[in-house]
Amino acid sequence: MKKLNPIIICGALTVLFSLPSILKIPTVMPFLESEVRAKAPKAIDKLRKEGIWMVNTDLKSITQDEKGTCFHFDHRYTPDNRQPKPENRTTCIQ
Amino acid sequence: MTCKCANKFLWLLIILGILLRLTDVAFPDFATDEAQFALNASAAQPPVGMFFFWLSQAIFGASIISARLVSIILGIATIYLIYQIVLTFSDKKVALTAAAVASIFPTHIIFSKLAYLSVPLCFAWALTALMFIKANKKPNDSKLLIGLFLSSVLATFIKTQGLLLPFFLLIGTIIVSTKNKKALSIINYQLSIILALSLLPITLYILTNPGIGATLTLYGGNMYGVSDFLSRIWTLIHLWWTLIPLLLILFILSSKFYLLSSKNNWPIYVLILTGVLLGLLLGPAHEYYTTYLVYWSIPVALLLNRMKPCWTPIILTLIVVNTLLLTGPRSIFLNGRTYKVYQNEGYWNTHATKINEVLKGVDEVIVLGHPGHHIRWYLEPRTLVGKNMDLTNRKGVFLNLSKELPVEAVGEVLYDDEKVVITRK
Repeated sequence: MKKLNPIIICGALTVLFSLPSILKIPTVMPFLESEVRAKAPKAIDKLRKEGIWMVNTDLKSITQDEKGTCFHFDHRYTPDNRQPKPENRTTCIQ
Repeated sequence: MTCKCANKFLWLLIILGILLRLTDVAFPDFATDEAQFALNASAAQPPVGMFFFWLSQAIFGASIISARLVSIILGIATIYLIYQIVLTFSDKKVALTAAAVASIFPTHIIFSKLAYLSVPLCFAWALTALMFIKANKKPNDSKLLIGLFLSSVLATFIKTQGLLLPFFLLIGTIIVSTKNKKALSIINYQLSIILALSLLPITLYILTNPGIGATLTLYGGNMYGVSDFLSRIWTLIHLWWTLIPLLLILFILSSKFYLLSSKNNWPIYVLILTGVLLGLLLGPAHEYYTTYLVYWSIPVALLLNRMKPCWTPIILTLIVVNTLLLTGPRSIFLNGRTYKVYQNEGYWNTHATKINEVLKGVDEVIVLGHPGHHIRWYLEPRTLVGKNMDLTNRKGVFLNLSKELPVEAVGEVLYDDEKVVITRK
């Protein structure tokens, strides 16, 4: 059997390892807009005011509607090595 | 010393270094960074390093020892990698000397007993360097090229800064080709492509995880970079001198081996210099960056090999004395030079049980002051970070970390000691 070129194998592995990030591109696309970038720190401040640990949040999507720019997060409180079910947190900035 | 005796002495040092990595593992409190990684929750780092800590806890149960076990194992494995790296260009005697120096290298021992990401990255970088050197020597071996790719990806996904070594190796490969005054040869072409490919997944990861950019911005121009350069160098050298004075002198004396190295050994010296640059560029006062100085054991071994044989045991014994004074078992070697986290019993290791008893039945605690991530590790109730909250008329249980009780937390005192006051309002 003819040996596969290592560059082709590594290329395929690159795509495989990049897949989770590629799938996340639509989530972060709104950051291309300067308005969203400007509102993101305010959204984080708003969450901080609720007392949550920001490291426990994971940005899921950004939407823009009449409420303003809304940042939707999954929040998992991690007290130990358990992975509790995430709860949704949405914070909107006008 | 005869050759057999010398080898026995070196093996003895390797075993001593391994044993030192197994002492006082649970003694220090979990630091905030350790807890963050062990809880698998950091916005600034990619997931693989934290996955190791998660895996260890999934197998052995959630505990400080389980988390720190990852560093112990990878720390010991790094000694073997250093041995293998030296074997690629020198003989067994020098390789064994390098392994012995690495094994008793004080700062590497200290961080091999703590759950930071520096030891896992130190391991992954050594593996990447080894794979690169081997792949460079055997250009037709596909397994080595794929091994290089995988180890490079591993390094980049343990810690964001892990991309530095593959990046510098990529630059080095291109420079070597340019110096040879010919277009990229087949092997350099393959190595360059593979290193470039290995950097793509982490590049995409950084671009799609805004937390990493936010952390960089937070510290940008302050801790990261070259601002106040002379002060950085002074801080760095002062830190090295405080922790490892003899090894610093030996490293300087061995400079001819990395400054005037033969062109074949350049990847090894890129490895060593990347370890040095990391502290300089990312925070010279951060002691965990001294983990990477373990790569110094390579030029130091070359230097010892050039000295009269009688000097080797004397110098190695002096390094052992430094190591034992700094990080020897505290039941025997506790002294003024003992590394700070082993000086006194940690507050949280000794008080957490009592505090959790007081908080029994409480679901949520508002923590006031400046809480680190270890608070989440040690406290059983869910914790909220109080410093940004509007606490006017807020009822609940407050855990106050500063000495003065803020007006928002004044209420029935449930617990009071030298560090923590717990109130209910």
